[in-house]
Amino acid sequence: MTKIKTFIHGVYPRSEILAQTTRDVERKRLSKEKLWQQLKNDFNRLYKLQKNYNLDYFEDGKLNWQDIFRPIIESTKGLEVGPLTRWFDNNCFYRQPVINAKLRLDEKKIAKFFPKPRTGKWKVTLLSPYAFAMLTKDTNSSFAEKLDKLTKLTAELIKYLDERGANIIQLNEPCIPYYKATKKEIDVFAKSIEILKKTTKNSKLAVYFYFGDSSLAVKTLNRDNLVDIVGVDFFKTDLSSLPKKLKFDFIAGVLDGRNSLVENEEALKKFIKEIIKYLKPEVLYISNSSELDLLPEPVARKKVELLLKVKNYFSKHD
Amino acid sequence: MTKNYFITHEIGSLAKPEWRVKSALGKPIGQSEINEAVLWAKTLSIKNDRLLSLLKKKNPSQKDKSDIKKWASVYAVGLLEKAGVDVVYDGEQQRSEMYQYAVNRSFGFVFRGLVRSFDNKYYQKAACVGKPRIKKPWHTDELKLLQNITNKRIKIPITGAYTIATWSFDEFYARKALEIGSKKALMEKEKARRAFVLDVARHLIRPNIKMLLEKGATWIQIDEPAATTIPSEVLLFVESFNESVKGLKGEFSVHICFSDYNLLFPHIERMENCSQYALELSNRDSIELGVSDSKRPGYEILKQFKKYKIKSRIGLGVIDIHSDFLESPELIRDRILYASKILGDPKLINPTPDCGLRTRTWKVAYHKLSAMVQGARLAENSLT
Repeated sequence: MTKIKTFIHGVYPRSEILAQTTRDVERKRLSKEKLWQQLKNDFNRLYKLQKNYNLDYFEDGKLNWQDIFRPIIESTKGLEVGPLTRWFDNNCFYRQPVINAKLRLDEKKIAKFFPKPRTGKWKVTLLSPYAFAMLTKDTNSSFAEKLDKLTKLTAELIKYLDERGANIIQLNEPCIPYYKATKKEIDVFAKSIEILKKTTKNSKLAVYFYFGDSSLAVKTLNRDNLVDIVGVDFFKTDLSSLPKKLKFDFIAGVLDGRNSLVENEEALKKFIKEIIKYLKPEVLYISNSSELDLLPEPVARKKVELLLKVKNYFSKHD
Repeated sequence: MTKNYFITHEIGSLAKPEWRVKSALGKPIGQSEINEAVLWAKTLSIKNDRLLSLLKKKNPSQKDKSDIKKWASVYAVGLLEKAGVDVVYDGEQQRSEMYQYAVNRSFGFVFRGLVRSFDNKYYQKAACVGKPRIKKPWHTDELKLLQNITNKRIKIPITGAYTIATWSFDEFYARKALEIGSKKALMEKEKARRAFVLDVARHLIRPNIKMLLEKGATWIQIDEPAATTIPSEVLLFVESFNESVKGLKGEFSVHICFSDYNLLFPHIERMENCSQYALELSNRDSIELGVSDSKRPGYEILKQFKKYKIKSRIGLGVIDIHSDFLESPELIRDRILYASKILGDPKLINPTPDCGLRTRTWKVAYHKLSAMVQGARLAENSLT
């Protein structure tokens, strides 16, 4: 019998008030104190939202992250901010990380970017080292060397989070599906994941593929003890192309993070039934397909609300 | 060879004068803004007594504010003319910006809220919730105004269908493709996406262009900064251009900036009736003088245009719009000469800025545009 659980992953959109506050602080119309106050309000609001919608794990939404790299860059010696770069095929951009020396994580600096919820189970999303390496500039290293450096850096982060009680650490991997990685390339990715898995003592390690067809990646990773949870973006992947017997729990990315149209509840329930029937995972996590930061906050909230409805339905129809 | 061989033009926006911004926001206009208006009137030989009296009004009416906005167009055209630019527009002084302005004048869209572009920068993103239709013509009033201001040739920039669709959510067409997670569902979504983009082209862009042509426009520049955002959809962008100008008689060009131009090939072979590709290139170039490949890395993409035998002209970005660095006329000359050499026909070159100059001060924009025109003249002299 499949158990249905729910969570969100990645960067969650800031509220309009927080967006305005960040702008006002930048233009020196408001103090940094005000920004922290507003951030605190938004963090609390997001925890409350996840609690009210009965999500099984709580994320902080990375509300104080400028982009998926910036806090890591700011907290790591040897990394600096590079040019503004498009985030895959989206109308949003990040500052490319550039490696300029040996990487060393400063745990004191990183702490404020991983606030732990006061209650409930804690989940954290990071970018996988493979995607990190693909999107980072390092003129002095081969890709393999760059991946090695960033795998070690991610391992330090995972160790830090694991020791502080993170229940799930999810590594998001958009490059493998988006750039249609070959089996050989996925094997390289898997080796890096194998190293990271050994770093975790208490946390479950999840890998989530999005922005492209992920069937080859799931097939390649489908072996014992490599990773605890694997997930795919179902706006890009055909369910029937996935292997039938999974060696891990599964994340279904079924709330479109890139379109404001809120999913039809009945169509969603129907599809989840199909997933259960086809993949028969022990635990099925229902979640968003990509970071919700690509949506306005009120729209993201409506989508998260759907998680509650779906979960309630399946708990009644167990 | 005749003079003014290399016809120069601007791309779109200029910064809005502070007096125009404050007036639109209903903020009091101070002496510094009035001084700015006086200074530029002197530089551009504009008689501005009427504007000054409007700026000094304590409680300007809506009509006064609208008149002040029109004066901004007079100034902007004056700046371009004084710089010697051959084909002009008004630096988009009548518009807010390229997306919200267009969507606000269309039925079928609802703004859903702020979405982050990068860092702490956000934009209002709309969703398509019904079949797109024009609420009111986007640019005919501007054209009428411009026709009264200048005798130079006018080129009108208009936001393209693909960009409007790509910068919007789709809650209308996607409703017909609610299923997920199957091959059929993926295909249905592609179909819905195509219908959305092409409907924007047919029902928003084409009618707007048609109205502009009827009012005497001769050259329409379709702005498509999103053209290569989704690599798998470049052909759809091409189709949307073709749909936008289908059955219309006039000159139509496209401006694409800050994009991966390699993705345009081979798809743009299928562009119909596109007289010019205006590209942002100087941003990618070195600032050294010379006409060799190594000195002009920013213009390498032109080899692709040559390889694919694209016969359209190139709006050659020769001034960087994100920097106050003042390109010398000699640097611009070399960029033009290099491009002429690659394409093998100088008639295919129109020197332009990389994009709209709205992020530069008028002083910097004026110097850059003047250098562009001087560079074009130097290039002509080199070729005669």
